[in-house]
Amino acid sequence: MQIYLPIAEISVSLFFLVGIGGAIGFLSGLFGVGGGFLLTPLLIFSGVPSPVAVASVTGQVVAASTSGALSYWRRGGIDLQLALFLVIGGALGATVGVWIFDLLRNLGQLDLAISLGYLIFLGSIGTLMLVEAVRSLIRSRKAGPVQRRLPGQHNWVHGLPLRMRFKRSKLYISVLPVMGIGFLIGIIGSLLGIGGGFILVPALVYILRVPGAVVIGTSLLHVLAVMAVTCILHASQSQSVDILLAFCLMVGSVVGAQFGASAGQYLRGDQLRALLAIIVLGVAIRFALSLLLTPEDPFSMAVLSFGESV
Amino acid sequence: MSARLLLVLLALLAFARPAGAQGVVFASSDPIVSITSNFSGATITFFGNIEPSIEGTIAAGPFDVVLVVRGPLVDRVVRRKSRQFGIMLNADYALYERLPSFYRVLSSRPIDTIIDPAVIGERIVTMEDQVDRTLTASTGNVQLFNTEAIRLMETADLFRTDGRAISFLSPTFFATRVGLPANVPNGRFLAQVFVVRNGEIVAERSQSFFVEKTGFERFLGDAARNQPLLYGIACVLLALLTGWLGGVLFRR
Repeated sequence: MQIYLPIAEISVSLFFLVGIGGAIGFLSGLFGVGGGFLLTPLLIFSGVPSPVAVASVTGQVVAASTSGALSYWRRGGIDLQLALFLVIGGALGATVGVWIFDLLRNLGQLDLAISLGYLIFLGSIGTLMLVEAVRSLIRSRKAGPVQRRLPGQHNWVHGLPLRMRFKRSKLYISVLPVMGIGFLIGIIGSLLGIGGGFILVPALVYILRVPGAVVIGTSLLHVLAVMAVTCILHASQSQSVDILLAFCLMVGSVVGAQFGASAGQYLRGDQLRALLAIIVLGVAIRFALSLLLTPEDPFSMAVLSFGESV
Repeated sequence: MSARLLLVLLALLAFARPAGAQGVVFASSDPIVSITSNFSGATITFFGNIEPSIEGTIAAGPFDVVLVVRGPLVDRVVRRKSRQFGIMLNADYALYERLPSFYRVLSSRPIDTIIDPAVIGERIVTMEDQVDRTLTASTGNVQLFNTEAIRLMETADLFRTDGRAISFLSPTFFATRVGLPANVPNGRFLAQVFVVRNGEIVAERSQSFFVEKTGFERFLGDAARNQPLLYGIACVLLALLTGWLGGVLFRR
């Protein structure tokens, strides 16, 4: 069954949209990531114009994160205070990111920047995550249960000023690294059209030592808030949010996210991280190949929208 | 008898000069093509009749007909990837300004067999002329880029030349069908019909039709353009509602 998308001005199979929405939603619930880093390339590959894909995915990420965040909220898995500071940093970062986005577009190097950005961020984070997860998997197999890092263990981050007590996370840390992480992920997110959950989760775990019980819920809430702001920005600036496209993806993803969230309870943290690392690395390799291999058709055509240059 | 008729016809021909004295009427089945939520392309039928130059006489043939359909104009860029610093980058490009986003050159016989090449260039814009004329900037081989531009547009079913697309139901009555793909651009389309006899264009007429969204699709398109902030907020609210509803329905 075909459905006509009014902003993309193309006709796409409804089942395909709901289907990929569902698959991405499952991952989103499982890992606490928005799934934008998979969904945006998928949509572009299936013929949706890239500005519409990037902008509409923000709406889908909001929906997927909402159902995910709600199920974590019920289990008490969100640190509201921590999320607030992350979002403040994230909103500032998104503003800067949109500015860089425009700058790159005017230079005509946006495509390259997006490909390289995906490759560098996904490649390095995926590798780090995989190495860490495999190590802890091996350790747990050898020596039984892993010794959990306690929240009380400190690193250099804990020496910074402006400290504040985050009760739910059992942390007493400076707000500077919290806002800094939100800011950086805001920039990366708005540049690459992703929520940034897969970068945020390891950052919270390894840099801030946020306990595993609240890390995914807090990350989902952050992604939700920042993507909601980005969606409104996209709608009012580039007018490329396709609400019908977003809705089809949302319906699939909220269902998928529920199954993902419950499936996540049957997997251990290190197994989850290893799985996510493999997926992230897969996307990075896909981008690496597109940069390295000689394409079948070296020619491509694009419509220049208002203000865009070659 | 037949010699007399021939004489009359010859006289008529002489009288009909200069070219263009022949008349033509044509119409399309859909002056407005509406795009609804299940739109997956459409077909428009064009039909017309070649009219005699003088009232009460018959139009003298044989005729051929060329139909050119042109969609709204947009700027397009064709890029070529090449290896630089070891990675594949978009390097060369060709910019086509105000290139039709939809183009059909349909005729009753292949166009170069029925019209003088000089006349084709003057009066009828072929796909090749179209890309050649709209090319405004290029950093590579212009010929190559023009060929590739046509190929890419043909692959997307936006450009096509068909030399056997128009059929004659009588010596003067013609009809053809124009398929609009699902990715057809929205806007005003122009259809031009040329009547050809003895290698020359003896009549022409143009007419426009519209491709536009209707109903809910139109409402969404208008809202996104005219009320972008409200539209964005509505999208976020819809996302929150969908997410919440999903959470409630699947609560366990």
